[in-house]
Amino acid sequence: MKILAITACPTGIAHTYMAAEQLERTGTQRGHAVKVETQGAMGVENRLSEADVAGADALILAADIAVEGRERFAGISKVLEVPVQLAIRNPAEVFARLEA
Amino acid sequence: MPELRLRFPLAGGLHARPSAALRARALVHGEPVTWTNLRTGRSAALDSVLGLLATETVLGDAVRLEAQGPGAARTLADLDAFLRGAFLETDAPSTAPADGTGTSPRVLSRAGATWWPAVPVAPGIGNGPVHLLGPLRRPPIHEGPCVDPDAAIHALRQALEGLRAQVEAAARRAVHPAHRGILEAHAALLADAGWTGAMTDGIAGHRLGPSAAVRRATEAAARELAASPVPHMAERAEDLWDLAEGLLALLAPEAAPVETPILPEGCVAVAEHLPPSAFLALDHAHLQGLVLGEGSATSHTAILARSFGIPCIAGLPGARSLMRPGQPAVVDGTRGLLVTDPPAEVAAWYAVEREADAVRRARLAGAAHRPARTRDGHAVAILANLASPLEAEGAFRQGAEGIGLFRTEMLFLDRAAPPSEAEQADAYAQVLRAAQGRPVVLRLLDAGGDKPLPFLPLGPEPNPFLGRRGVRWYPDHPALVDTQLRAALRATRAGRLRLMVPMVSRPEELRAVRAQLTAAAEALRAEGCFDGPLPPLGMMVEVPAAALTLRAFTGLADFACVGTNDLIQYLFAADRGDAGLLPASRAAHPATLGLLDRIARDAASLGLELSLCGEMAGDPRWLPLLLGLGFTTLSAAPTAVPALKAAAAGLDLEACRACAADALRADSEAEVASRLEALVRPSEPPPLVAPELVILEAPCATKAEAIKRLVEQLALAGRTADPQALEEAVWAREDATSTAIGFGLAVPHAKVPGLGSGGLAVLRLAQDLDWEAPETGPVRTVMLLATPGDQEVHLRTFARLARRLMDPAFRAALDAAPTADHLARLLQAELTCS
Repeated sequence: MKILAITACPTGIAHTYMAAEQLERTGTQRGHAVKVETQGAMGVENRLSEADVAGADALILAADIAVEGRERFAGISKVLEVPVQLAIRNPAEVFARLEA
Repeated sequence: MPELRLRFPLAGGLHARPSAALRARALVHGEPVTWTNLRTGRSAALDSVLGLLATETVLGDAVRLEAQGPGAARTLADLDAFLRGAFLETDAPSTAPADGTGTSPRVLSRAGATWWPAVPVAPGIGNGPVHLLGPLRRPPIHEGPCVDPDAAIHALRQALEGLRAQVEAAARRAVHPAHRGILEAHAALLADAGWTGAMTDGIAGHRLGPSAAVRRATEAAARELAASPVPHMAERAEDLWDLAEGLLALLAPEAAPVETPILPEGCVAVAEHLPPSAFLALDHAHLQGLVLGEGSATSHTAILARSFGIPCIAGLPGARSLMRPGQPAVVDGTRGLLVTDPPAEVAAWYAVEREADAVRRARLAGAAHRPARTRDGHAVAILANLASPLEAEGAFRQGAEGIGLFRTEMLFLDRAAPPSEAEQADAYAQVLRAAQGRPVVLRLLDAGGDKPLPFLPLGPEPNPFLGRRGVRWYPDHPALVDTQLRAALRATRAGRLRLMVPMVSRPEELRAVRAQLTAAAEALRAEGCFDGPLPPLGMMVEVPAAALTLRAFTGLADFACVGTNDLIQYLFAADRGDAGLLPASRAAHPATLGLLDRIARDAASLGLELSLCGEMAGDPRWLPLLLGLGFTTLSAAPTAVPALKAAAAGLDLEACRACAADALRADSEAEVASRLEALVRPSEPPPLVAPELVILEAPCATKAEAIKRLVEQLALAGRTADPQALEEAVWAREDATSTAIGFGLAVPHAKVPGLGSGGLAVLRLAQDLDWEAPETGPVRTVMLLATPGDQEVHLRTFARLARRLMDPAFRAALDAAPTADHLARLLQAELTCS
């Protein structure tokens, strides 16, 4: 699947990036094409474009705070919201839910 | 007569708190009500707390209340409702925890510790069993039969009112309901008709003086209480004596207590009143910490506690009633709080701080014995302020290059008659000998205002700080001054003595003292007790008028010393003892700096030797300003000397001058503060990762301890100026979601604007640590990321670290690194390549 993700944690220093790393690695291992936008203390990085959204099969929101620009993803029907912790500790579980 | 019968409902018996509550309720009605304990047969009027205590009413006793007067029935009905309702809460145990305030360490509320806010007096952490210092009995004062009973009763009433007002004020401020209850009970005792009646009886009936009457009445009442079977009554006898001591202190301040308490080793001593003489008599080697019921951070005992480095707090009236002998306690003199029965987590947390404090002290001690120098090689003289000869040894041990201010008032306090010439000469010589050739500046008696002396009646003044202070009363009491001058002259044989006159506002004042000094010297010369030249005679610059007219003192003053405490007080027309008034620091205010600049320039053009003493000198934050304005001789508290020397070594005098010039153009303290911050900010930020920020194999039982260790590590490495703020920010982040990420790792972090340089501190543990996040399992490595948040390179580095921690190979390498050096290098390598 083509999977997009947004990670966002409260202080935006560490967990945002850990979750991104885990989702990228695990998603790739499981044969998906994963693109992760991080919303952290340095601002938005790897911003997901309209083209990304148009081609996406699913969206993961691994966030403990409100996600910026959520309206971009109105067109994606398969959306999974999880706490940041889960994405870090058990990314396999996150993808399993999406694949189900 | 209408009556009410009941079975006494309180498990603790009718002790002070419930008695006071009952009395307060009955007073609302005004009708006399009698309480009779049908078991013991004893009765008491409801308006007498002591009387109620004496009825020895315990749980289950049959009690009869009787009231008289037109409203009797209504009164009893109300008391009935009260006794079934609110009265039942007066027996609450005295261990209710306080609400956390913004500044209390998080660990206290997390661990459910019982703690009490107080006034910080001397910094440091003391941990040990409580030792209660009972009221130190003052020796009976020889009063003779009372010749004017009316005046004596009046004095007694004033003392009672005065003390009651103090206790009531303290009760209103008390944070714990239980503490408040105790203080309200004390206030009620002071109004107790039985006890106070016995006092006035002693005066009117037995012709006793007020002090003797207080003593007699208290002995009788205390005897009764001590013999009571009701629990806690014996402790109330001690309370009564504490209150009596308070009264005696007001009635006869000159009589000093004679007992010297013996302290068990490593104890936390608790005293309601502790005069300076009593403090000095304690064995400080056995004192972990000191809790003073009364008093403030500026009292003489407080000054002494700071000088001896004993963690000390004050402002907890009724403290002795809150604690038991032997009870474990922690005195936090740095923040101003007391923890009783500290949970293990809290004791461990404070132990980390004590270790870090010891490291800081050891570092400073290293610099102590070298003369102070700025980084660009300019000499700076750091001297010490003394209040007592007993502080001298300690001051020189701390590296003081002399005594810039020897406050002689302490020798005159707590006594009925002034010290003799011989006694004073002895004390001054003691300091000179300890100085071993270093200069000692003795300030002539600075009494009046906040330092009243019983043998120096200066009359009631509407504004003591604007009245007969310092040199102003010298012409009215020439013998006192003469004795001190003679004593000082005698002492000159022991070392390098200089004299200084306080509160000078006009040249005539100095001229008069100089004339007196010259005459005294001539007399002593003739007696063969003095030879050589006159010691230098200087002036304190603390009255703004004198500060602005230094030229008029040319030829009269051999040197000048700016007393910032009073100078700033007069400049801002605000009492520095009142923390709520103009709370911002006035030391760094443009007005203060402007005046100091003027003084420095005038002194320089007049060739007048200048120094500066006062609290401002002891605060390393202001050092760049003082040095930059030209004050290179400073006198501060002995414990501040090492930190000042260390601070000077980190400054360039040229840079300080530029900074001071800039600060003089500022319009507010905030602007001055930012100039100072710019000066001390390092030009090259230190690396985020460094071996000194890595702790391997530390013992750590709790999450709180781990966070504390890491925060202190950053503080010791100079990466943050405000470890408390950093720690609180870390906890705030933990409150949101736990930073444990599994894999035995936790990544607590915080972004704190104005933090300092920040860094990455690592703690690797020998054993599993419970991070209180059950889903993620125990933690073995904790990495604390601290950043001021305005530096992108930090954020990038932390983001990279976060990602790398997801790689099992990297985690394994972190676990395997054998030394702090290895670990630091591994992190640096991983985190700096792109």
